[in-house]
Amino acid sequence: MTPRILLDGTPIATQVGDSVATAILRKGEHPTQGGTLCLAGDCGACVAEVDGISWVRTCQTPVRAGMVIKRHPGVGAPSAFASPASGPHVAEDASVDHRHVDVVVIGSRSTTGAAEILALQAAAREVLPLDGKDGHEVVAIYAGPRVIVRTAAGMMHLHAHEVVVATGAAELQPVVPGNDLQGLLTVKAAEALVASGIDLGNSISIGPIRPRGVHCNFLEGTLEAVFPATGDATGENRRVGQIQVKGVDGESSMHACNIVILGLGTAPRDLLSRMADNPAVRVIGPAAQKHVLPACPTEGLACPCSKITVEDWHGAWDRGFTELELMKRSSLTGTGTCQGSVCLPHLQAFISAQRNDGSIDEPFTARPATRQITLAEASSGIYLDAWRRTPLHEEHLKLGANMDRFGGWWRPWNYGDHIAEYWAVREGVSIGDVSTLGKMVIQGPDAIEVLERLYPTTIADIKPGRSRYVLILNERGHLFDDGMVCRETEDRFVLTFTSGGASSAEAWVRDWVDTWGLDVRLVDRTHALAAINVTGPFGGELLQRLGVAEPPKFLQHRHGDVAGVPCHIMRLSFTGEASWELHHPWDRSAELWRALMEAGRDMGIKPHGLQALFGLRLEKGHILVGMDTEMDTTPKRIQHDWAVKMNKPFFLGQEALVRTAELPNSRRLIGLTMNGPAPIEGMPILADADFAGAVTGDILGHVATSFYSPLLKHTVALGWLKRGWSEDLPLMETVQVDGRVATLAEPPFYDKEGKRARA
Amino acid sequence: MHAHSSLFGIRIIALPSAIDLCVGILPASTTALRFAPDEVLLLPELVLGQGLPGERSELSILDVDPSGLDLTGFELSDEEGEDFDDDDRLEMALEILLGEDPSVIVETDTGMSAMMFSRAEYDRLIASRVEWQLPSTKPYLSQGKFLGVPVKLYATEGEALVICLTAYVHELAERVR
Repeated sequence: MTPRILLDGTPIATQVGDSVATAILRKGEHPTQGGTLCLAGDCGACVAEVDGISWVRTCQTPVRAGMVIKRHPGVGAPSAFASPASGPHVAEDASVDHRHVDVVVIGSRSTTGAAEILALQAAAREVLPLDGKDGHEVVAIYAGPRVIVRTAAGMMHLHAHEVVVATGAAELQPVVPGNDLQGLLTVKAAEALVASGIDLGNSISIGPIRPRGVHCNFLEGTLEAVFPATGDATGENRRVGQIQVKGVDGESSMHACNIVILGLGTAPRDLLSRMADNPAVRVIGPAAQKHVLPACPTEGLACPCSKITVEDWHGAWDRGFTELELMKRSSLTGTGTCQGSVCLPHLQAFISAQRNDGSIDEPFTARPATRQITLAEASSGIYLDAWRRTPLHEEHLKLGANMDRFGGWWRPWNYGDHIAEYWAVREGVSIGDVSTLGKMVIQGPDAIEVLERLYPTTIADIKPGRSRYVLILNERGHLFDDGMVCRETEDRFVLTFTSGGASSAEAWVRDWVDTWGLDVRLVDRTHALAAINVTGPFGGELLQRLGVAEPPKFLQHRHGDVAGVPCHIMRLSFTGEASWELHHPWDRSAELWRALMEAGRDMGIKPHGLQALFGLRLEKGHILVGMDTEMDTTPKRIQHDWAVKMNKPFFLGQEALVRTAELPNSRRLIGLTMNGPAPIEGMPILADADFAGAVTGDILGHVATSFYSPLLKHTVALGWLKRGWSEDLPLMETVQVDGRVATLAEPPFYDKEGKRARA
Repeated sequence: MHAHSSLFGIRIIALPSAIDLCVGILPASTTALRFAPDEVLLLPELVLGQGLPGERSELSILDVDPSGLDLTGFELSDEEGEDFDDDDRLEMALEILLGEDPSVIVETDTGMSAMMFSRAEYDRLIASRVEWQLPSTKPYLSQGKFLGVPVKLYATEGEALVICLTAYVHELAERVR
């Protein structure tokens, strides 16, 4: 029993070996509303919804019992969502079979392809042949080159040293009035249908290439127009009824038929090669040859996929789009299913004729995929970014943390009450997971020289056991990270970086060390060491309870055990309170965390998340690189000149800072205080009075970060002035934010003398 | 979920020539993964075929003053001609390292984890799913992204070790099916 398929809800019989298109044509129907059929996968005239997937080339789809075919509407697009009853099967495991091969030959069954394979094998090359007839649908060639293939078993990604494209030539299709009717076939399509046992009926072949084995009438001359059968012009059945042919004598004549077979010539089947601008991709045979262009079309549907007519081309040309790429973009010609396989030669002929100078534009680029593929197929082998977990991830979850993604890590945003966490830091003791900080060790006789060149701060005068806050500038003098430099011995330093900037900073340091050729060793310890920040007025007492008799003083650091866990203890402060960072082995972090929580229980210890931390640091006016800074932020614009020693012999960015110091500057990070809730970050800062550079209501900049301070009982914010102010002007006293008056205030907003951090 | 285990390692950053000398005398019970010419990770208790190490090793980093070492004529046997045991060989390897490169960085590293795959699992789960070209001869150490996670792959004829940062290991374990 031959398989049956459903066509628009009606069962139709098929024969073994049929494609879906052949089965539909055998039934006397057309896969679409009309248009010339090539049945070779070149055009888009047979696309339909197959098992819930739209735009499938039915001529390349073998029938399978129970297939559900729905023809696309004549106007508009098919539904973007598949019918649940016939939805595409999405494999649960959408993995890809990666293969590394020497040479891939696409079109291995073509005469040229087969010959090339023999030649390659004779040269001892390892060849992987691919051909659609063997179930290999090549849907893309990417840089690499990487060839993407769809097979019945799934997707293959082939990584090849060389790719040979031997895809042959495609048959030209006619551009004449009425070429969107049903009943037009290329020569090879007609031959294939007859070979499948389909009677073409009253058919006429026209053009220099004639079909073999097809019973039809042959006409000399040029097809001028195709007309529907009488009375069918506006009906549903828009079949060919007669054709108008210009004979070799120049006279036009009408001929009745219901099938027209066009043997008009060929064009390169170069869709894949037009994707691959790569020396490792070689196009051979007819796919690489220059073919004779068709005559310039004068009327008719020129780009069937995008429904673009010759009249549309004239319109685009008259508006000045006089190159192939411009014509494509202005008219959307070639952007449909077949990507120019049908229309490109006609468009080249059209442009050449308009110019009338014999020039022919090169074909435009094609884009993956050459075939309709599902999202599951397209995304197979593609994975979401992997997010890192600190060793305290489970501890956070046990404590009810709301986790979120920051800087490539899962981090606790809060533990349910960020205000309580805030007060624990300000008035008691709290711990925070800062394992995500970048950490690096540099050691060697040239360590100081390296660091003096890397940082705008003086390094040589940092004593062992002391540390210093540092900015990191690029060659343009723009800030891209910050951190600490801790000196351990004469020639050994520990560097820290921000969580989000650690990877870039590490690459930055390594790159410059290699460039300078200095004698140091470097190791990234970011993922080998966890870190816990102990902060708050009782932080020192907590450490004493866990064996640190005398916690390091402000900006000091040393190694020692905390609760039996070996730690590098660094005294600094980001929260504004006394703080100690405990850097310790990754595998002992949970042990240390629990010991700290237990020892601080009677102190009311609470862990704090990023939400509280961001507010705490904002009260102190500490910047967050990336949140408060921009791609071109200089130290001067954020009032961090104190961290730059311009009298050093050299540091990265120094020359740029010298040069730009002479240029007018209109950007400045400012502090703001205001009543009421914190405005949304990014909200505009407006002038609330006329002054030298602006008038009331002008947008001056935007809020970078904001926080309602429970302690100060008003909002504090950092924001950017970008317009209406310059260095030669005094700062305005107030601005408008969120319809409220905001007062400019110099950070820090809390503990200006820094007594609490140094306590 | 595929089983994974933390690795206890010793990470060494040194002149390549110093690492060459050090690696050359390591005991058989120590696996040396040369991540870069100037970087090697020593896994003292990892012997493929015996599974992943269970208990965390308490091996400590040696505190050796390289200035006191006389490495000329250093031999890996004691006066009676007996071979040194594994601990001795590892200690000597590190001593040689310190002597060859006084700026060497030697740090314990517990931030990496590993999954062990049998040969059948290697063929089914790894070989066709990594994007980069695997070396044709084993054993090899190779690296790239496996299921979207950066890993190092150490494969022998019998089995393979996929090593990644412990920070990524849960993500990787969830993706290995």
